[in-house]
Amino acid sequence: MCVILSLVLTGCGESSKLYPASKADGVFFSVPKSWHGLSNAALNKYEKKSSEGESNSRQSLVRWQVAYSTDSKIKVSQVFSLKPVKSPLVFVRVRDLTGSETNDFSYNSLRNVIVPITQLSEGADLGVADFKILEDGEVVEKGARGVQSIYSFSIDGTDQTFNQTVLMSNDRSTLYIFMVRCATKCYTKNKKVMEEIVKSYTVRGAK
Amino acid sequence: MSQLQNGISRPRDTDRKTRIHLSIYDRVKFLLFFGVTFLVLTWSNLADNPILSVEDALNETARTKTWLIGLAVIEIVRQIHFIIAELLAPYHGIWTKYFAFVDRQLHRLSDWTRFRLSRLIKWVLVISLLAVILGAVYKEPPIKALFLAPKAFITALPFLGQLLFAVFFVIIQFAAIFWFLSRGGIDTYFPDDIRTRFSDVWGQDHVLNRIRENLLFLESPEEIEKHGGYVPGGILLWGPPGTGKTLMAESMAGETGKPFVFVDPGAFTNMFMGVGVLKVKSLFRKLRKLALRYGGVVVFIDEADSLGNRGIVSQGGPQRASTMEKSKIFESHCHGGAYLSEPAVSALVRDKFVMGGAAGGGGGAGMGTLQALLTELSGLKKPRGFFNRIVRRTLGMRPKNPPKYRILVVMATNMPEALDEALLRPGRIDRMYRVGYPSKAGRVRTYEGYLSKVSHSLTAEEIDKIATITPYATGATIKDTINEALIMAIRNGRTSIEWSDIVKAKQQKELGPSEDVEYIERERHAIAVHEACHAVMAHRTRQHMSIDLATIEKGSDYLGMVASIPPDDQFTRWKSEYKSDILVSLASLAGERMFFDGDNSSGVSGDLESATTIASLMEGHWGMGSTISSHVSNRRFEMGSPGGGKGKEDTEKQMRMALSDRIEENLSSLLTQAEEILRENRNQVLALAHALETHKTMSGEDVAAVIEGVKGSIVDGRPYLDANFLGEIEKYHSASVVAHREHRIPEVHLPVIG
Repeated sequence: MCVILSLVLTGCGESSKLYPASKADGVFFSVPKSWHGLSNAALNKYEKKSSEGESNSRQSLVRWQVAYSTDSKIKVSQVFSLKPVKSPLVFVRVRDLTGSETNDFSYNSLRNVIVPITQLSEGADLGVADFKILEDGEVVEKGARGVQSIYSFSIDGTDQTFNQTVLMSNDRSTLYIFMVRCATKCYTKNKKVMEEIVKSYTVRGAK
Repeated sequence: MSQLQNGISRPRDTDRKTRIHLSIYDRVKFLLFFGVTFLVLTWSNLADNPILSVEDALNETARTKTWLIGLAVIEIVRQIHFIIAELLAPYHGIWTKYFAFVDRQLHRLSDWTRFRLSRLIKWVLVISLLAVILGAVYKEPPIKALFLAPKAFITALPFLGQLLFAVFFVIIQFAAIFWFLSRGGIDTYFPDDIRTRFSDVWGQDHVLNRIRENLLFLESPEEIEKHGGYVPGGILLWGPPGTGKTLMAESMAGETGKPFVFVDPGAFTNMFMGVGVLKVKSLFRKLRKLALRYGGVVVFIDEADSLGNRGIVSQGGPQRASTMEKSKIFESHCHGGAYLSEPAVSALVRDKFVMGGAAGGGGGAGMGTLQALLTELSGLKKPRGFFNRIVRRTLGMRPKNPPKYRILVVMATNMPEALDEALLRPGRIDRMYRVGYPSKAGRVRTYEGYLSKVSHSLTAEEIDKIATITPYATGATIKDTINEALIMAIRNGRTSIEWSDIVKAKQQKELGPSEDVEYIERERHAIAVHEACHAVMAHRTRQHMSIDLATIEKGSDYLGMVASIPPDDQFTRWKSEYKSDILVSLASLAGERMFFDGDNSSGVSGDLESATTIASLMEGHWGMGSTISSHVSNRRFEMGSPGGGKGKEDTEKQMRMALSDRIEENLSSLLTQAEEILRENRNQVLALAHALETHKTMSGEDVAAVIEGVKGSIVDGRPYLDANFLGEIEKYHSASVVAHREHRIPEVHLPVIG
């Protein structure tokens, strides 16, 4: 008891990591303490402002979203664009599936949530160069299952790498999007940290 | 230990220079508690976030639960303060003085104010703590959370309901069992349910009048209440069994215009403890309801002795000798209690009846039932009813006083001494009436009543006569006698009761069936002579009793008997009467010696015993001897009796000897007197002996007829005036005496009339 108290009292009173989590949705992950976050509210606000019509109604499906980056000056707009970022960026989103999505979502649909991977891998020309799938595999969590894909492509001549994990809850009602990305150079440099973040990603499912 | 051995007492707290040492546990208990709480909170964090490391969880807890760390720090500071106070006397002294100062400041407020202040502070603390906790639960500011709490409470109601149901489910089972057990034993009759009226109760007019009076008060209570009185609440009817107590209650039920509640004797005897109490309570709840609805109610508790009593608190005690026993003592003889002062009476009663009192106790209806009844009969007059007690008080009104419940409690018992004394006090049982044996007029009325239900040929004189010769007859025995007479008539092939049936039925009831033993002739004659001596002596000397019957038929515990009855309802006894009683008793001894040449049988033992007892009481108790002082009193004060020895040596023995000498003297002079009377009536004795040998059993009337030589109702006494027949009887007697002496069959047989 005294050991604990002294441990607590003698200064290491700070956590070594940040533990962003949505306990209601059962989503947990950790990032190094030095990272900077963009809050759920800030992201929501930006998305609402910039989107019109259809995507606005989609925005209302979002339950929780949060982004972290090593860059303290990261902008919300950077999160929602596919342009390469110079520092690692983590983005998490939990959203409800619409009725039709619930019915026809497949693993491929999960893969294509951010970037139409399947089409690109089949060689479709969508204005994106050097598309490569580095890894692709099934992920089974306690509350959800889906696919993890690591892929890279270049826009405006800069190559960037995505590490995305998109899961669907076991009752097919919720979509869990988790994405770590960076310019490929930066990705390689920070690979260890980024893989640790991906490893910490845990989906327990809604309570 | 060493202090104890050195004879030094443990120092008082005020004498101590330093603080008393705390035990290890007292030092660390709060820190332990905080530590455990910390661990529990950490564990909760770990459980909350699956990717959290233990170290981070500890850090997280330490970061978010700073209050816990704060408390721990305060506790550590406190313990350090204690340790210093334990070691350094000056430090401890400063604090002691400081606390004394604070105490003085606090005590400037009055105790009452301090109590109210502390109560206020406690409430504020509890509410703010609740607010903080709720705030933490709802993640709202504490004050707001406080307002959310009722909502949560309403949401939780179904669950609370479930919990309550689980609790009540068990309670309800018990309640239901006891509810069912506490039913029964109580019947309610409404006016006109019962046809019995006061006119159906015969021979108890004096009691009936008093009961009527009570009922009148119950019917129109304003009569007495407007003058500041109250309706008597309780009547006790007591007396021998069969005298009509229950019938009286039944007639009350018929006569009154109020509901009548009948409580079974066994109603308060239950398998489980406490059910009796419930029964009493439910009974009185019902009574109060009825009393309010109908303006009055009568409740009758039959065989009230079944309620039992609580025993005697102290041994003996004059209180235990209740009015009941007093009246028992003084009802007979010379009304000795009437002119004595109260202390003298209770002294007498205590001495005489302490044994009777001690015999009571316990028994009856079981724990608490009697007490519950006592309280219900006269307990706190508390306001009743939910509206009255709760709603009115909530609205700031005083609860209404309970109304006057007009409940008349009637109890009946034939064992009044078994009742608890507290039950009989005024306010509970206000009036006690003895329902004794019915008066002669009542008996005549009862005989007439029951005879009217059967066919009979009895005249009014005969009914009067049978009522006269059955002084202790009750309604029950009269009914029984007439039924027996009817059975006899029917057995004899008649349907109508005749006088002889009544007389035989009465003899049958009083003596029991005879054993049909045929005596050998000489013994039969001896018994007949024995009984004839009694009868003749009784006829000649005794005026206060008349012969009821004489018999030489062997019964279960006698060979023959002469039974007597008082012709009138008489309440005092006189010296002359006791003297003639002794003469009648001694007649058998005198007669046997006279008629059998100085021989006498063992059959006189009973007679001598009663003669001696009466003679002793006359000499020692009743002031009918040669001295005046009472033997009882003399013995109590260990005094010698007059004429007895004086001084210290063995006064008791001296006294007894003197007394028994005087008794013996009296008895022997009375024996001489009896011999004289029998010598004068030799013919009558032999005549009656002959009549008894002939008829076996004779009524008192026939006995008188034989002695007087006139015609009786069954036996004709006129032949016994004939000198020739008397000679034959004398001859038969002489032969019997010879046979008796030589133990053989007499040569002359019983002469036959005509």
